[in-house]
Amino acid sequence: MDLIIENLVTAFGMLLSWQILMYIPLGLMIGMTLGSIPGLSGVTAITLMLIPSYYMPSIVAIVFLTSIYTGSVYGGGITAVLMNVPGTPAAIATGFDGYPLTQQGKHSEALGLGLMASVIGFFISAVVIFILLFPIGKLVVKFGPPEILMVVVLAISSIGIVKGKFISTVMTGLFGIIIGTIGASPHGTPRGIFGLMSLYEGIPLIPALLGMLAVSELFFMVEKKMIVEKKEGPKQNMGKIIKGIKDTFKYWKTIIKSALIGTGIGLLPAAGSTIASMISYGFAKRNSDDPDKFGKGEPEGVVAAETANNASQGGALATMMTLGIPGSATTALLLAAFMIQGLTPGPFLIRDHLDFAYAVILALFPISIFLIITALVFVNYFSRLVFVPTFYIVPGIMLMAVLGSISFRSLQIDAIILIVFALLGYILKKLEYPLMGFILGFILGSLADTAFVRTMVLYSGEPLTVFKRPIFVVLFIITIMSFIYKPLKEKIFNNSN
Amino acid sequence: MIIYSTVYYLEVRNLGHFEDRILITAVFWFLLVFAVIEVIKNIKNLESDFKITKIFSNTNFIQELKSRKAIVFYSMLIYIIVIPFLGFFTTSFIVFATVVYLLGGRKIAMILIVDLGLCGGMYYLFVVLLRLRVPEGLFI
Repeated sequence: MDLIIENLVTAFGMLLSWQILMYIPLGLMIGMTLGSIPGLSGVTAITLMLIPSYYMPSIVAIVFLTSIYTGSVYGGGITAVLMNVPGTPAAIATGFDGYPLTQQGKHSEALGLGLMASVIGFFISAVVIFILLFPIGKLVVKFGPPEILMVVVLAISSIGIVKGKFISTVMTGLFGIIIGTIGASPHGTPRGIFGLMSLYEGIPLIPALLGMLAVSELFFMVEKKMIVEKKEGPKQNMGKIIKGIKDTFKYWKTIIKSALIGTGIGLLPAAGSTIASMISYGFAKRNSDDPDKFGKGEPEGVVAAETANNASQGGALATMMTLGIPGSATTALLLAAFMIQGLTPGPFLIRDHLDFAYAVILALFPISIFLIITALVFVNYFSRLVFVPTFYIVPGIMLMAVLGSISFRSLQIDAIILIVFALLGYILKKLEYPLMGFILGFILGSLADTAFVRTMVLYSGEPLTVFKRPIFVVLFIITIMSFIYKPLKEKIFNNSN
Repeated sequence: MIIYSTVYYLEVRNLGHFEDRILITAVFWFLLVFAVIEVIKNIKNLESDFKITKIFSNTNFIQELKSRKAIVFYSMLIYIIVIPFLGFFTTSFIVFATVVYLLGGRKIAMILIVDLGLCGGMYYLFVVLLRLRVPEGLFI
């Protein structure tokens, strides 16, 4: 208990800085801006901001990027409600009832409902993970190299199950691991650099992620001249938004259920806010006295979807920090941000920097408060961003991506890496291979390499004794289950048919 | 994926330390097995073109080379090549205006205002605030 209190006090001290107060609203605004533009989302926002965040103190950088994440999830809901154009996939369920409410002239109330539901969902998940962090942390500090290796394999296979494309995900994950091991080997021998000594330290994360996540998306976006054809959007009324905020509390039971569903799904590796909001929406509909109202402008539908997709962020953050497994591309980027700051999420973070982990969770509370203020002030502007022509957005992001890639090490090769990864990302997306598998393998490749080598060295004489480690055995069984789950399910399904 | 992994695997195979090649060897063989399964699955699903035509779906290769995304790709290549000669911000200013025009922007004054705002904003953030070294050439 003393350990928790001691770390909490240090964590609280870390947050007492003017920079935190400045960067939270800035991050929320950046997140809402790009989150409300379909095709860009929080992934692009965080990728572009990785370079500036590198020059901030560690806690400020992570809080700033977390604010972008939060802002983008909420921002995606604004255009879903007003135009039925979800800014992010996580906002699809929000549009089911949000847009019908707009068609009924209740768009301001719907925005108020969405805002308050987001804030409460985010708040509840922060409380839950605040309570769970230490028990989970106590478990993961027992992890050794074999368990860490198994966690990486499990993460990639579980993405395959969640995305429904098991083989292609595992393939991209394995390819990601191969790319992630380029550079110096555990013994310092160069591998896979083909004479390019600037790759000796490995492929730099920032240009690769910028290319794969931000630039590759531009090739799709540029095909359209406008994201949404310009039309007169509905004007927001502050009084009605406040009414919507108050109305949210009528659905307190749904809020609590959706927040718990969202946090729980966020905690699962590879699940994400999209799945959380869909499941929560379905759950609210099934348990409603009048399920037929859903899809026709039922405020409870907006509340269920928005609460869950925001609550999932807390869970995903907890899994990322304790196990080192990102639940989505956005948390994968946050994981990369931790690594860029010299911190390795997972057991080592909890063992060595528990105060830091608590500071990130404590920061979620001020973020949720700032979210209300920022959203209320700027909601009218964010909803109009979809009318910006793509001929401004695409070159603008291209410039920022190139600057982000070359400013990290001031090497021309980083710009080439950006282009190569952009093409790779584009081709993978076109072929419908999940990028998430690759990104996870790429980010965790060197970790897997070290863990694998250490496991081999530890158990070189008697490899089977590794099965005397109970946590390893549990993770091993779950991993094997994840590999046979889909074929087994298909076989059972076919037999029953 | 397979071609690069094979080249990488063949290179790593000659490394002296067992620990330096073990993970890559294991991952390579797993990848190969999954690739074979994927190919068999695609053949079974009568996708005998192995999805590759999806990259150029609904269009032909020549049209693809002239498309809007090709403009973005070429301009990015030229941009990266020219930066060391003209400097980052000068090149960025020229490239932004050109790409906007090529993609259909016709309000010249508006393009220049946005261009100045964007390049100025990036200069302030990266050079003034973050004090980063940005490539310079003849100009800034």
